[in-house]
Parts: sequence; structure tokens; C-alpha cells
Amino acid sequence: MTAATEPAISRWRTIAVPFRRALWILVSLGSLLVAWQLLHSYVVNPHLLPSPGNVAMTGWKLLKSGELQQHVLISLTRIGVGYTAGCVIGITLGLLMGRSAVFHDLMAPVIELIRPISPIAMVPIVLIWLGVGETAKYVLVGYASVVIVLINTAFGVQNTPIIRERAATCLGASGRQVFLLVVLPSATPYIVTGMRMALGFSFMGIVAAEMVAAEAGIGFLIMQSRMFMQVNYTFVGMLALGVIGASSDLLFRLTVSRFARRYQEELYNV
Amino acid sequence: MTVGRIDLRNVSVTFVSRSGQPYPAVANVNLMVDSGQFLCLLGPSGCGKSTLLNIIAGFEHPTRGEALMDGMPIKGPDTRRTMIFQNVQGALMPWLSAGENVGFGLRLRGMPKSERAETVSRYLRLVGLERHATKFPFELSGGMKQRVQIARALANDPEVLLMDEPFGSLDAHTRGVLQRELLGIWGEMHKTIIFVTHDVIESVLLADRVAVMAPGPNAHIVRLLDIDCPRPRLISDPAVGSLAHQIEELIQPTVGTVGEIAR
Repeated sequence: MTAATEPAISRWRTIAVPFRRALWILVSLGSLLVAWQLLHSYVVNPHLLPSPGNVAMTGWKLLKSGELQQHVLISLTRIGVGYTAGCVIGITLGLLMGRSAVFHDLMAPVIELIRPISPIAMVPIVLIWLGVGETAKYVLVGYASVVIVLINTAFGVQNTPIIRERAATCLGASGRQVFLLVVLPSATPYIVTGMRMALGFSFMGIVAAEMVAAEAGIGFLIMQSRMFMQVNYTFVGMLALGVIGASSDLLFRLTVSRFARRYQEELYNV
Repeated sequence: MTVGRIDLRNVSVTFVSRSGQPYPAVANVNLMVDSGQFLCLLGPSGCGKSTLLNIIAGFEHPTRGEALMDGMPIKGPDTRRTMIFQNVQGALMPWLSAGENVGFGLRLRGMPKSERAETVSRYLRLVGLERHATKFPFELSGGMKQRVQIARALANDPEVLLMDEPFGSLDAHTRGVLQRELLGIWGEMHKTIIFVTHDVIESVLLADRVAVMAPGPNAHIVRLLDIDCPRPRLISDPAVGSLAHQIEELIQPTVGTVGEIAR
């Protein structure tokens, strides 16, 4: 009797959410592989699109020889140095812009002008100025990440509610305390969001740099294989880029939820 | 010795608009709030109540006239006067727990965490939040957040509480509860309270004196009324009702009727 009136719970909803998510990831990537295989077998010229198996074999070969790790490591180092520099400069300038109206009005037009110039458009001039050394790569990665960090930081600082600063002042906060204990934490969610976006952009910067002038790195791997029409190598390079990009984003999010959760909570809960 | 007396002498405020036009927002306000008194600044929106409160807090300065506390000119924000804002989400630190928010003022003074704990729990208890010390503001209801803000102000032991429509965005039931709690706290601590509201009933239920303001330009205090009904006051109390009615009559002509606006 009661069984008839009770709404039926689908079995799907009895599975814990993390497992459901994992299942969807498998379904999503699995469908991609199937589609890829079908395209390779029936639709496009197999010489232009290698099979997933072929790419996997090539990847495995490059891994065993240690060549792939070397490219990845070199690219990651360049990203690490350039991205860190970009974040430090972006946050510093962003804080200044957020706090000083004069500095903001001076900088804003310049930033608007620079913003549409992609890292790729910067490659020639950076090569002319700095040559083909590592510095050029750091600069390009730093360039790719700095603007978005800066804009987000400045926005976060400016978005600090005036009443929050006032509340702190009448509780006895000095100007320095207002900045360190009110403005900086208020801006933190925005800074973190900017840094996450910048991490994605820095991967675009590194490939731009390595495709034109490098002897190693994932960008080099992709570009070099093109010369020899080794499409399977190209795909290994692209996949490597996707995998380390997605992993670094995951790592970033895990770090944030571990260490900066209390600052992010507000953004997720409004 | 009396502390926490506020004096406004011939205070006028003129704002300059974006187009450079001067706008006389407040004109010639004289007001004296005695130590330990509960005063309500009452008036329609945009009549300069908050401006006056900001001047007393020291956030803004009068164009003419002066604001004094215990006979000394108010030069800027001071821990002896603490503001309680309506927008709690903005006023609290969202990254600090309820307890950490309450202890914020003590932390600013450099008091170590171990010493803060006792004061913090005392004031959390005062507002009935002792079991919510570790919760973050987003985990608390609007009324609870406002309690945190009140406890944060009190933990700093100011002489004057400046309250800017603190219960304006709460539901009617919570507002009533918090009004009674505020009166209880005030009865115990006898701090000077300057309470801004546009709710006539609220002003009559709470205040010793109500300053009724007329809207700008040239906003000013129309009438100062002493509310001497005994506490606790109830809305059903005839004396409360007749005072509220009297105040309504004062405000009505300044707000303008539908007919006037249509014309």
C-alpha cells in the first residue's frame, strides 16, 4: 500500500555523486576515443588522422626513450618560471591599480591596448629583442599570464565593499591593517580566479614560444613532427599538452580548496 | 563622568554631483545626544540620516558646522564609536568565522588569540551564538549575521553605537526579536545608541528620543520627540500607537502624496 504511493527513486540517484561524475568522465572520454577511431577508419584519410592505438604506441615509445618526459619537463620549467613571474608582477601592479585611482587611470588605457595582442603576436619582437634563449620563453609565458592576473586583482581590490573598510576602521584598523586584513583577503577570490585563468593562458604562451624558436619542449615536438609529416607525433604532443594542462588545473583547484577555501567560499555561495 | 555624548552644531553638508553641481543635502542640523541615550534618526529615504551618522562616525565631514564627542571635535573614525551596517554580508569578513569576526577588533589591537577567546565567547553568548562560533557568515541566516556584527561591535567596548538601519533587511519576526535583544543589551550596558530607521513603529518601540527629519535638499530635523512610555513597549500599547500616529502626521507632508507626484 505504502509502496504504491512512495515515489520511485531511480537507481542512478542512489550512486554517490563522485562516482557518477567519474562515470560521466569515462563515458565522455570513451565516446571521444570511439568517434576518433571511427573517423580514422571510415571518414578521413588515415595518413592525416592516426588511429588512437597508433598515437598510444607512439606515446609509449617516446615515454620509454625518455624523450617525452624531457620535452614535458622543459616546457613545465618554462611555464613555472614565466607564470610565477607573471603572477607576482600582475598581483603587485593590480594591487597598486586597485588602491590608487591615479595609477589606475594611468595604466588602464595601456592595458586595454595591450590586452588584444596575443602571445603569438609578441613572438617576433621578443625574439628580436631577447634572442632564442630561455629568457624569451619566460617573457612570453609571463606576458601570457600577467594581464589577466592584473585585471582580476585590480577588480577584486576595487570591489572590496567600502563599508567593510569602514567597519574595520571604526574597530581600530590602521591604514596598513585595512590593506592587509581587509582589502587583500577581500580580493583573494578574484586574485585566485585570475591566477587560474592565467595558468591556462600560460600554456598558450609556451607553445607559441616553442613552435618558433626552440630545440626542445612540447611546442617543438608538435612543430618538428609537422616538418616530417609524422602526424602521430603531432598528436602525442597535443595530447601531452592537454593532459598536463588539465592536470595542472586540477592541481590548482585542489590546492585552492585545501588552503584558500575560506576565501573562495563567498564566491561559490553568493 | 559622562562619556559618549554627541553634539552636532549647525551641521550642513553640500555634495558636489558628477556634473559639478553643488547639492545642499543637509542644512543646519543641531542635535545633542546624551550619554547613554537611545536616539532614533527617523525620516524617509534620502533625507540625510545616513550622512549624519557617517559624520558622527568620522567617515565624512560636515561642509559647515561641527560634530563633537564629549566636547572634542570628531576628526575621523575612532574605536569609541562603532558603526553597525545594514548590509551585513559587506560589513563582516566573509573569510572569518563568527568567532573570528567578533574578535577582529581585539586582534587589531594586537591581543593574542588565547586572550581573545574569553571575550569572544562572552559576546557570542550575549547574542545567543555560542554554538555557532566556528561557522562562516555564509552559513548563518541574516538575523544571525546581524547578531555577529553587534557582538563584534560590543566586544570592542565602544561608548557609542551607530546603527544604520540595522534590521531593515530582516523579516518582521527576526526584526522584532532583535529589537528586544538590542533593548536588553542596551539596558545592561547603557551605551549611547544612535539608530537610523525609516520605520516609525520601530523608532517609537526603541528610542528615548526620536529626531524626525524632512527630506533634502536642505534636509533638517523637523521635530525632536521624547518617548517616555515605559518599557517594554508593545505595538498594542495605546500610547505607542498615538505617538506613532503623531510622527506619521509629521512625516506625511514631507514625503508628498500620490496626487502631488502625478502632477
